[in-house]
Amino acid sequence: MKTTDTSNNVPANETVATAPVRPLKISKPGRAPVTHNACTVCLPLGVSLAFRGVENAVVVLHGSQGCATYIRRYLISHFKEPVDIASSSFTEASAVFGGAQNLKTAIDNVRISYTPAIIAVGTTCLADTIGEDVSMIVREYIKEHEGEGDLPLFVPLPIPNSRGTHIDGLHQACRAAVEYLSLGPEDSFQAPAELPLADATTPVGIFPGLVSPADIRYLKELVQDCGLRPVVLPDLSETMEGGLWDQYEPIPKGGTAPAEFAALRDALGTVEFSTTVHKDSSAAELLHERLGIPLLRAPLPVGISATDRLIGTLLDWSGNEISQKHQQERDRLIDAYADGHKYLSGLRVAVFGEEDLVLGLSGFLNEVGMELVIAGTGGRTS
Amino acid sequence: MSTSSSLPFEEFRGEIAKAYPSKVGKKRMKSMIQATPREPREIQANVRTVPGIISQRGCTYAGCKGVVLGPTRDIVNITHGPIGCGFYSWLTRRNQTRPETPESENYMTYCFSTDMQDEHIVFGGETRLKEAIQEAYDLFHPKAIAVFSTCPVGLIGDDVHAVAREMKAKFGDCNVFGFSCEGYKGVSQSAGHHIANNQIFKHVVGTEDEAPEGEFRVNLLGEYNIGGDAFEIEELFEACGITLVSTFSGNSTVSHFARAHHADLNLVMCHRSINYLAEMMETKYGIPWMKVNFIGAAATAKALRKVGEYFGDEALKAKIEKVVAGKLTETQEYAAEVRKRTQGKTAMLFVGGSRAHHYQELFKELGMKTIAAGYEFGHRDDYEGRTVIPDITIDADTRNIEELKVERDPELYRERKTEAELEALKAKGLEIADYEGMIPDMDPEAFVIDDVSHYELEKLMEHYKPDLICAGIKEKYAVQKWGVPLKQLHNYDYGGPYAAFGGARNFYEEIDRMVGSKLWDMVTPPWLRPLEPRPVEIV
Repeated sequence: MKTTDTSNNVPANETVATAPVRPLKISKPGRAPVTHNACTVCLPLGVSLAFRGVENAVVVLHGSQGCATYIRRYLISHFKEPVDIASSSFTEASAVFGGAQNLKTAIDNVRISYTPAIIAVGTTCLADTIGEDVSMIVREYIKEHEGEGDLPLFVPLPIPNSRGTHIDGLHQACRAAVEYLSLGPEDSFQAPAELPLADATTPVGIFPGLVSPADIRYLKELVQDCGLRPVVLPDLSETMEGGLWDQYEPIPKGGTAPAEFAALRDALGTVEFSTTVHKDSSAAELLHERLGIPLLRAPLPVGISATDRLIGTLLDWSGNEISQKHQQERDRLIDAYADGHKYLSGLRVAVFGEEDLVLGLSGFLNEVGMELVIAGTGGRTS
Repeated sequence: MSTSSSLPFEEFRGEIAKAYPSKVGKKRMKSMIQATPREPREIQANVRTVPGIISQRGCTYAGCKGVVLGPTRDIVNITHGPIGCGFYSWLTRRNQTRPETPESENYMTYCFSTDMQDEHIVFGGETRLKEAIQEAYDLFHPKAIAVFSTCPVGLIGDDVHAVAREMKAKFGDCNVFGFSCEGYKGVSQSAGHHIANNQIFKHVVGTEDEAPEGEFRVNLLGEYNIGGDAFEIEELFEACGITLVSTFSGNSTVSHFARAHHADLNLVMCHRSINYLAEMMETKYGIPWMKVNFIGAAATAKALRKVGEYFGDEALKAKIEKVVAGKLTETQEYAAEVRKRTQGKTAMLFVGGSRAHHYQELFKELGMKTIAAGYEFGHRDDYEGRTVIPDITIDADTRNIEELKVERDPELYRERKTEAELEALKAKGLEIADYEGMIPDMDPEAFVIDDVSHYELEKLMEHYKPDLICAGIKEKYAVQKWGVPLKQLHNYDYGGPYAAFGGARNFYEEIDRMVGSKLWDMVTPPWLRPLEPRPVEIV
């Protein structure tokens, strides 16, 4: 975390990092032998959540069924929405001799029960440790089922689980989704969708990281009000917060649609709410490298400065003026800051959580005059 | 909804299976039977879930760490593995515990993990595990440290048992033991229960000599103090003059386990998760075990009376009758009040290895009918009774789990009851070393299904249109999307307690609230409802 100027004059296509004004002492991560009460969960949770925000997609985790169950349990309790994640359900024999057949059976059964458009195949520690190559197994599967009309698109995610947290999983899964569904992978065995734009408005890609469905709905509204068309990945706004069903929905409606993936290729720019995720894990960086799409990588927009940077950049891109609605909201917020200052000023705060959330909140706490005394994350960024 | 509820069982079952590939369909059919007691039919249980079918089952590690060992407050439980497994099994709210004093040890709210990284997977994690155990010891000086293996540990060959032995010898005053409970080892969490039973029996039970005072000493096995259930039962025992030596493992400490061999009777609540320990303790120490159920007011009274019968002491029996007389009538009166609103409603239960059975008692008391039930990780004996145990096929997954060779302890074995005395008690209806399973207690028409999948649950709902479903968090929101309330019976939706008399009352109240909710009637707005003639009110 390097301390940088948090002023608003940052070029739109530059990776931006902010930190709390007071430099914090950063302890080296991964040193303590026993980790207690961690702030992080495992990488496949992020992978599973990311594809929950892709239209008509199902995740199969290659490994022990407990991984899928634990992740479901955790995501379902958090969002209070159903989350189905399939598993290749390793046995001791698969752990010894390899689980390719289990994975293929799992894919068969998922195709029958869900008829998904996309199957994302993630790995777990177990599959990683025995060196399973999910990309290869998926390629074999496609070959074996060549010519079947209802064959879904596959996104293999051979991401080693012991090298990151749920946030890394989320971002890497988004990058893989963009690679396979917008760009087409370099060793292309599946062509990306070629779909016309349904909406004439210029698209902007938003990679929000881990935010709530309500946040995503608000972000979409904001981008629209700036005269642009939001393409959000993952789009959890409907899939992870929906009403009752009148008929059974094996896969909930909503999520980033194929046309939106296609639209990302013509995006005016992309915004990624992460400064901590490595370049190689960033979807925004991928679009920038391959297609030269300008990008803004910033911490989560919490508070005036960070939101100013977001809205400022969107308006720069669109050439529009800010809508009165958002200007008024900003004015009211400044007003609230002033009103609340006497209560909040100087209060000492501890923040812990995901890195980009901690950065975003720290910026906000600093704005309202609170004193950040400790910031903890479970990530390995330093 | 296309299916008619008049469809006969066989046809309905066939219809469920039809949606699967034929091999899968055939396999799933074997896990669905009708609860007709006169035609004993075999149910397929404790077999591997088909890959890609969304099951509610967990893994071996979950059963070992989360269920059996988790509720013991003064053991530092370290997960040896990557961070996810430790985090997900962090018991923050589900199992309750009551430390003796505010200063007493309680590590249940902590989550400890070796947080394995790439380099440990490649070069081995034993050194890191030793450091972790040392650090935990230095920080807390606990009485015991337990180490739980996750999937990668078994594969890279870390010897958690050797590390545990070494550290135990080094500390001298801390019992350190390990569990080879890698997630992939068994069919479900059930395998983990067995592994936990074995290690607790090997490393803890019988290690403390101090015998607790009391005339009628029992252990309560398979009660995990979800929502404070164990507190209810403890209170009841105290009122009756029954001494509870240890509970495996709700509201327990490691010392309770260590002294468990002093009890004269083992009461088994959850047969599935703990019958191994009951059997081993009987062989080694001569403690008979008996199946009981403290879920339901009538069942609680019955269980208490059985304990009185076992000890055969008139004073104890009189005391039990006095307690029962005070509480049972009061609870039944409340049930009668609630029954006015719940009579005739229907429920389905898909949970655990005993709860799908035990909770049917409470529904009976509310006049509600259980139309379908099944376990998530039960075995055939939990459905059909222990008489089928010799016929259960031993597959590779079962063989995978160590069967301890237990012998009579030359010093600690003490015969509590003679064979003849036990036979006489059995004749009086006590389930001594026996469990008759769920099916004999069910309506003959009821649908029994093992390891129900997401899709099958949907078919059952469509077919039976139940008023309430009891299952867990993984089913909860999918079920409620249909406008059917779901009561979680794994964690009680953080409510409870539901055990014993006080618990029964809580449960009646909860079910009254859930099936009587007007919320689901509001789902369809007036503009989507068919037009109805409305009386015109003239003011």
